[in-house]
Amino acid sequence: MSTSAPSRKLRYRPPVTLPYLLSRSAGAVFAIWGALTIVFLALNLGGDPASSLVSPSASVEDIERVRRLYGYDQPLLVQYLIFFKNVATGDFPNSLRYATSPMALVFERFPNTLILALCGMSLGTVLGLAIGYASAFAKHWMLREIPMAVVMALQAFPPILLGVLLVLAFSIKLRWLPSAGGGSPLHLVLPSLTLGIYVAPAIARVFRTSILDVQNADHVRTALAKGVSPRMVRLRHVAANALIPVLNQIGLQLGAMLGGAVVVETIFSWPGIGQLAVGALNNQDFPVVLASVSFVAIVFVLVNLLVDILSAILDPRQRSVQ
Amino acid sequence: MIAATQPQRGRIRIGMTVPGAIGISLVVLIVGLTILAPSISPFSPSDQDLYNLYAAPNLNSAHILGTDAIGQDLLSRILYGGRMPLLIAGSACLLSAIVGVGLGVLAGARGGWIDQFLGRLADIQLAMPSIILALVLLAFAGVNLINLVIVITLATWPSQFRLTRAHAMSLRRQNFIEAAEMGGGSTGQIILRHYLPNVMPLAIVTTTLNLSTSLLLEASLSYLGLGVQPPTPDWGQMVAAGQSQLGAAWWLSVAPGVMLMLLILGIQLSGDWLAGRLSVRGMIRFQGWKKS
Repeated sequence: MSTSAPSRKLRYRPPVTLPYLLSRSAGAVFAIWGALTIVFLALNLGGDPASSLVSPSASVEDIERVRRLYGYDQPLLVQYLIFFKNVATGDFPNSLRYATSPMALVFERFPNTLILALCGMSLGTVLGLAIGYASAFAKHWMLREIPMAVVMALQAFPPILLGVLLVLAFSIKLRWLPSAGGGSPLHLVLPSLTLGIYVAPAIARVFRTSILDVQNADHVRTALAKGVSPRMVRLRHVAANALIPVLNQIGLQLGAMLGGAVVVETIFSWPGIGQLAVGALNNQDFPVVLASVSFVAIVFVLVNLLVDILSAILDPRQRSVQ
Repeated sequence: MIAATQPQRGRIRIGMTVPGAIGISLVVLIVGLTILAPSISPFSPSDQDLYNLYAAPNLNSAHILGTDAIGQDLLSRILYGGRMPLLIAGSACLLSAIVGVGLGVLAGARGGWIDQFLGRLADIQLAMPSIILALVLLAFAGVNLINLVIVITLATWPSQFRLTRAHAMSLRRQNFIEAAEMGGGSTGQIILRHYLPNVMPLAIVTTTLNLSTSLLLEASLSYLGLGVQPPTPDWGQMVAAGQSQLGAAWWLSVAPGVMLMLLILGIQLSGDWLAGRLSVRGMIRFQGWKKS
């Protein structure tokens, strides 16, 4: 587009521009600030934070000690700043149940959530892409229509019902897989399957719509006209280009998966961070709730940032700073 | 072309499709059963028949679908169990429609700092998975009916806001809005008379889709023990309670789950039909409808 002299030297262009990177990172910082502010507000909503962070049988001196230690005797604004400092340094009151630092528990559990989310996402992506591809390209009408009907039905499946049905079929009736717990790869199968089926419909729908959009693009017509085999056109020119909206969708879902993992981990007692948070909540172990929720909120924002940057690298049209 | 899409005189074209019909019948059936629960259910949902624990489903007995661990009639509990989810998700959905559509139109029509501010507010909301948001709010503010409604509303309004805002912004450049502005109408008047009627079709569809999201979130929270508390029956909570007896009495857990699934399926099919019917399908595509 530029009219500069043809002698202009080719110079290295980074895959994403610095302004883009900066604006997205600023957005992420803002989002983390917002999320932590909500956590702080929630903590204060329940009345006195100090007395909710110690065990119900704690003495008045214990409550006072926590109050002073974590700055809850200060004015609200100072408390707010101290809260951010404590989150940044991972300094939370000790867990009431495990009597250790909540962050130690969070770090112990987080790898499990990560593994589960990645397995579930990969499974869901493969499943979704296969269904989307088939429903867009299959020759027989049944192969095109039935997968989409299945997708529609799966989308309505609450993960809690899906999990229960999977346990019923594979653990109780067939006795192939363990129904709950962690430790072995076998324990991972049912939770990842549940998560995978949970995200597959969205991916399938986006992929299908995107394929149908790209199918009519000029470059596809050109490729067909110059004699590229239809299969090659489908794979390299249509499907490959149709993947970009899918990547965005995967990003959205990856975040949703951190939330979905809370439910799925509880269904299968998978020792991840979601199960930790729910268990802590039911045991009134609020320091652990605080730590795990803050941690998940931050990870969620970082994952979204990463996906944004990644999709900007793959699709230059998204690089514009909004 | 135009003649073909014009309704025939004297006849209203409903444009019903098979999936649409299935969806609407499912919703009507399940909502009807739930509303009529007090008059059609054979027992009170909390009545205990202590001589009949874990009775298996049997058409010839008094307990057609069997009983649970403390002898409560499963059929009655399933009929009653839809009341809280529908009440909570329904109110949350209505609130979120009012907040999301109202603010969305305002932001899209006015632009400027209001738009910036509201957009940021929605961004903050989306910066947290809704179940985590619900978790932290319910943890510290306490589990009760009103908090549940608030939490679900908070989780669902941003998507509605964003879609409405985008649509209102596209309306802003249309001739009839510009004409109304040049005619000297006040902003409030233009929003009420021109924007609102035009975002209505979209709002109806997004609200329908939101209802299924809200139901799903309510069920998840109740399953986690953070929603409706026993002895009040609730589908999500019943799925959780039955899970420990899955080997001996799988129906305790599966039956309420299936009811929830059928209701959500019905709502989604109806929403899809509505989207086609009201020609808003293009507007909600690719927006990445956020699941809870």
